[in-house]
Amino acid sequence: MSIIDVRDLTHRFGKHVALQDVSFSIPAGSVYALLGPNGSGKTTLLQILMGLMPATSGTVRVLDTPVAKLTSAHRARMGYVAEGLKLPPSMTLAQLERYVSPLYPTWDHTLADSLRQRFQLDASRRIRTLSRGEHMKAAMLCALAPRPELLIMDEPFTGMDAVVKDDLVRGVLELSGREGWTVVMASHDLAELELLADWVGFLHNGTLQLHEPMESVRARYRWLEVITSARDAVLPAVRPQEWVWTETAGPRVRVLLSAQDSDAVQQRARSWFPDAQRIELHEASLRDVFVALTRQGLAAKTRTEAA
Amino acid sequence: MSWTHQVWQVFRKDVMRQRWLLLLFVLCAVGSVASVLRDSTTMALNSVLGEHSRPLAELLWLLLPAFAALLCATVILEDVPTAPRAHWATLPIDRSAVFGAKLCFVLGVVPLIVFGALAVLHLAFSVRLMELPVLLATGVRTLVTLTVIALPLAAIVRELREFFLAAVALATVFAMAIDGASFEISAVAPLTQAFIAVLLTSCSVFITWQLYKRRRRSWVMYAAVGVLSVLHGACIVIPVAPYQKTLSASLPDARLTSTWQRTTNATARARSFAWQLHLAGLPPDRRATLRVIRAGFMGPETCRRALSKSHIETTLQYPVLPLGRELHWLGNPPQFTRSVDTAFTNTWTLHTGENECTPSLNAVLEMSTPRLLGSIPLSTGATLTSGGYRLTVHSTERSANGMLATLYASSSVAAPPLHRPGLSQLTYVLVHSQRSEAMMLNAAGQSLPAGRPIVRNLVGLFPRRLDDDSAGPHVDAWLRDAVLYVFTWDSRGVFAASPLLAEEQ
Repeated sequence: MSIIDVRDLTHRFGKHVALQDVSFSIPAGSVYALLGPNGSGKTTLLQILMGLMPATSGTVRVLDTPVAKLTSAHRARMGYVAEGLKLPPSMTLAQLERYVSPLYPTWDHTLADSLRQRFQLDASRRIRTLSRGEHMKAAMLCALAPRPELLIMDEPFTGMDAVVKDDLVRGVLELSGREGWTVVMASHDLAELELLADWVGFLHNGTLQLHEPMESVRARYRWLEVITSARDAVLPAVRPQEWVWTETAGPRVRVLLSAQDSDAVQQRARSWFPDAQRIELHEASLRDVFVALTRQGLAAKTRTEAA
Repeated sequence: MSWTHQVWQVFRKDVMRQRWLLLLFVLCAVGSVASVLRDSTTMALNSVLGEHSRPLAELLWLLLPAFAALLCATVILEDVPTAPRAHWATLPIDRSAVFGAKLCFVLGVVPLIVFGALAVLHLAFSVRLMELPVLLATGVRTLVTLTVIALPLAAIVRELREFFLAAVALATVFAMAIDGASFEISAVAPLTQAFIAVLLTSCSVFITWQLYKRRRRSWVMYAAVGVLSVLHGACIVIPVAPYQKTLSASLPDARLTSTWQRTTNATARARSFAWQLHLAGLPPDRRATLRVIRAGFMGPETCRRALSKSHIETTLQYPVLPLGRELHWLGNPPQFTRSVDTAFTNTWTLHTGENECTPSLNAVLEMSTPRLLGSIPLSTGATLTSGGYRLTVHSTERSANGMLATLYASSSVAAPPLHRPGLSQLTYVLVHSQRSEAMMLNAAGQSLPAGRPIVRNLVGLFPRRLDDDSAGPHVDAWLRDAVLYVFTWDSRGVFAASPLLAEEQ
């Protein structure tokens, strides 16, 4: 069952197209990592999912309800954390908790206390005196304490130190696994996302170029490393379809491939590089995939602009 | 959580967040209201002693609307409607609930404080709310209007800094518009004006709701907020209409119009602004008086009650209006005698002399105490005896705080008729006195009755001293040529009064 269902979503800021024909659905209970370079439309997409801004066109359903018709009862089942979320600056954290907690029927005071301790937050401090990381922790506390069914996080690890980040990742993993939360997260901390996510989406220039389970991504994307006998490796005149990104350095060639069958790839690699002395296949990390896809997108854009 | 609980939750949070600002506002409101009343009660005394207006009272009175607008802005900006990452928008609160809470605060708490201050004064000082001075009424209206302007303005900006910039820009535009304007103000019925005010307020509330609902700004919204602010501002700056209508309502044939004019004196490098009041069509048997005395607001009933509680000192001031020889007291100034019996009943007798005392004597005895000031027309508050007017005042206390009684008196007899051909269409002449008294005379030189609140409006418009003795030339000189009295002030902001020479019709 999908907790989020997006169909043909397009959003424009004036003439600028921020999102174009984006369609995907996120199954309930999954942790979804939304990747993409800066300006790709991640924040816009998450804000539309939260109902913070209306989409120009397309349909968006969250919690089985059109996003425009989300009521306060629906929102009580959702949590939102974003970099730059403007918490009331003149409130202390304790006041903020007192203000927010009655709004959520599921607010867990024990969890709030434990999160406050874990984040080492002083409840008597005003929000405006908190550092950037502490501000994020406070926002995180308010989002997690109600035990939301759907947690949407936009760059949640900003300003957090490694220990807290690790704690948070484990905490979210534990809670989402135990309580069946659905987490949608956009972040540039790819290592953390790789640990957390079981679904991945990749946005580039407002279009969703990748949307599949993490297992599938891990199985599909591989590095092909080839050492040729030539002084400078010669690449095939026509780039094979499986090639996502290529790096060459003298006789060495690294190709990020998108292919399911590793044996078949190795066989085809022989035809791509007849003078290959050594051919190896390695697993690609999420970071590798992200970087390669981003560069591929940028290169395509440059070619288009040049043409 | 139900909708009402959500509203209550946000409202309570806002009140708690703004409690110190609210407290300051309450103090400012009480101080302003008290200062206006105190100012009005001691004005006669100040005039006698040559004291001028108190800057603190005026500052408080200016601060109050500014404070209200600031309070409104901070409450709205506590939960910025259009900020894309506003925290409130991510909470399980309906937008309508947040809007409702803000509206309750802005349109409920802020006016409540001001009206609460008035109520306290009403109870503590026995001041009738309906008799509150025009200055106060104008101030309250200004306060409410500024609050209503601030509502959509704060909703469309995202930071207090932006709000200040927008407010300064609007004020500048408005000041420039007034500076360059030369327009006629026609009479608008109080009901119409109330309708306009309600309409504009509704528009402001609607636009604010749209901003909360849509959570985004657009040029249409900017334009709407700007237009509404200017219209609201126009309602503050044009307070003439209700008073004109008051006269028109009571005298249907009378035509009262006013004109703003700006003149630039190139040699003196000064600009002066004039407000001309044109009155025509007043029937001969009706009279109207422009009274610049702020004390007039109390009304006879309050004054009677005040008199019944106050002890009257023996000191009397009775300057006579220098309205020309014919309008002076004939003979010596009147004399007062006072007797007090064992029951503390003060009996005042005004010795005017039989020759000078005519039934048409238009005299007003003004009594001031540190708290109250009122006026009693002698024709109703006194009886005419062979020795003059006799006024009986009952005093119930022997307080050291005495009363200063000032007699303003004028006679409607024997002003020379105005026979100038060019003035045939001009029926009435407004005469300014050396005291804070002004009278309207008709073409036959008859003065017009007291009690018309036209000049209360002037007090609202020009909250400065209008009783500058050096302002005008001798009355005789301009009675013949004057069309209307004109109040002017120059670009330095100094108020002065000078007559306007007759216009050829």
